[in-house]
Amino acid sequence: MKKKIPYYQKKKIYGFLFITPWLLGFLLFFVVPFVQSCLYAFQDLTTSPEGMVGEWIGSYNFSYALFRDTDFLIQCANSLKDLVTVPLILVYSICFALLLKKEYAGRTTMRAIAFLPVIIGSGVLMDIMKTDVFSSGVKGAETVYLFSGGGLTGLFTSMGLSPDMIGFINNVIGKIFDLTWRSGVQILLFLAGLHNIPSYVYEAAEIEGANALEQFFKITLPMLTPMILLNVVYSVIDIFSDFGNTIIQMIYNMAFTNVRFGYSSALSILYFMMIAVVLVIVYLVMKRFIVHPEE
Amino acid sequence: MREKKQAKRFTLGKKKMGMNNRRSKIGNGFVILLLLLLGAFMAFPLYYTLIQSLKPSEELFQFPPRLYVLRPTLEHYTELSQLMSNMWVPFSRYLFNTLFVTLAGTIFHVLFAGMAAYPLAKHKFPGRDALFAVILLGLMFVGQVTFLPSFIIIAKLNMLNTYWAYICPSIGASLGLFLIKQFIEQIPDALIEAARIDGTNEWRVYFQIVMPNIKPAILTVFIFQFVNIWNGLSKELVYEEQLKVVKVALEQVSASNAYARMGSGMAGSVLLMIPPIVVFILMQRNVVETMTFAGMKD
Repeated sequence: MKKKIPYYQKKKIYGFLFITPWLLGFLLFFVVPFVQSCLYAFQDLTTSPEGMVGEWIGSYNFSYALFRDTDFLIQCANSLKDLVTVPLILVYSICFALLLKKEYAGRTTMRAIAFLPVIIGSGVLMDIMKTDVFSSGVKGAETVYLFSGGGLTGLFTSMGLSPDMIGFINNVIGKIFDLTWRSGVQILLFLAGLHNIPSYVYEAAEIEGANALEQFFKITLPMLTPMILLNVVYSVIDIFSDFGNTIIQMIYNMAFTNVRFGYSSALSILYFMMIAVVLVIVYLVMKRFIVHPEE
Repeated sequence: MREKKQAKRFTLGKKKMGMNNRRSKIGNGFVILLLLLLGAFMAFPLYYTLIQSLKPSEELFQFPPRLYVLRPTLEHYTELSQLMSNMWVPFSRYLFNTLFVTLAGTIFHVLFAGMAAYPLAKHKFPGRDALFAVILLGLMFVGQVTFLPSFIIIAKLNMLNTYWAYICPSIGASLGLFLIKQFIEQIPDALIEAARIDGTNEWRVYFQIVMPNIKPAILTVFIFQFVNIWNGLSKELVYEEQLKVVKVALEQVSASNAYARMGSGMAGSVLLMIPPIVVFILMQRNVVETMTFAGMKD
């Protein structure tokens, strides 16, 4: 005799079963280390033959970071400045996605190229690029020595441009690099978002006589708003958590070069609290603009 | 019934693709020109590495580096293969390790993250929003920052020096879950309800209704995760030579004598880029295909 389980209960069981495997991984490899590093933040850790020994020192690490370590707050403020690139990334990747949606010969190749930064962006190649092309990580536009030292500067000098101009041009080139190399994921997400807009909406609009521009602002853009939110969140996190970021470097070095694990944990918690605040603000502001097509 | 209707709509949508692509030839040319220009920016680093790996040593060390090569040579590649064949662990073993670890990690992640994303997006249960907030927190934390505690946990689980040290952490990655959830939310509830009324259990609802409809998302996450694992395998977790991955082996070869073997290091990094690109090209065709009939909305 099989006992009949009511449907809603079955649903609960299935839901639970579906989440469990992932949740286990998440708990073990994120939540536990996260809690652990929170605990470390309140300790003064030293290594000894028996392993790590922690001494509880209360909120000393935090107060040190906020009031005595002048470097940290300045670095935080600096990293906030990088947020300027988020709107640029968004505009660029929407445009690029629109271009990639059209059908023409070689579209697949173009899509592959647009996605290149994601494929090789974090790999071995990036290490080479960091030293050779970007010089100080993807962010350092000022010292693109491949251009400044290589052919381009010579070319510009022979064209009779002033050093200021050349510096400016190099800077712009560096920024374009930065932009293209940060937009791969966003382009792909927008592309998926664009394809999610049903074609009959456009057909209806065309019959009603809407031109391309109207179609873009009244259909495409509103329908993309959920994707835009997703992309803003992704870009913000991507920029803040880039390993080339000076603050991430600082946290990492604090742990593995200076061997101050406790202080490093405190720094990372403060830093990520800042990111969380930024994200909450972004979310609250953008929530009003999100269009839910089903309603 | 509803499903069939939806299905019909898909095929209709597929046929109609290209309807709203009326564009003048000049416009088309302009678009292609623009794309080529931006594409050049994106493709440049790839080109640069390739060029560097083909330069003979005397050109390689020129400063400032040249953007072209005068005497292209494959000497670094042959040198690399010699170095590799002299190692006591055969190169094929490293390759197998890497492919196995990367594929297993990717498949587990996509499978489990997708399964977890479905109830998060479409079921209502207490604590759902709180759980999602924690997941967002997970997105913000970079691996390097929690590396030390994670290392200790992997050690405590006796996973050090096994393939699991590489595979398991990727199961709980939150980026894939986040992306897939965002896509599942866009599937109309009516479609899922219809299937349930017809007596489909949740298992089939997920694998036969939800999953086919978010194929682009799943493939995207697959690509991400593959690339992430492939590029991110760290050398700290596994120190048994037999179990090491190609990336670490190459680093050992070229970094042990950084300047003398800079060329073979370059050659190695070119070789290392190939698998992710191949995976992308294979998957990308699918992404494009599935995207064309993703036009489902109520």
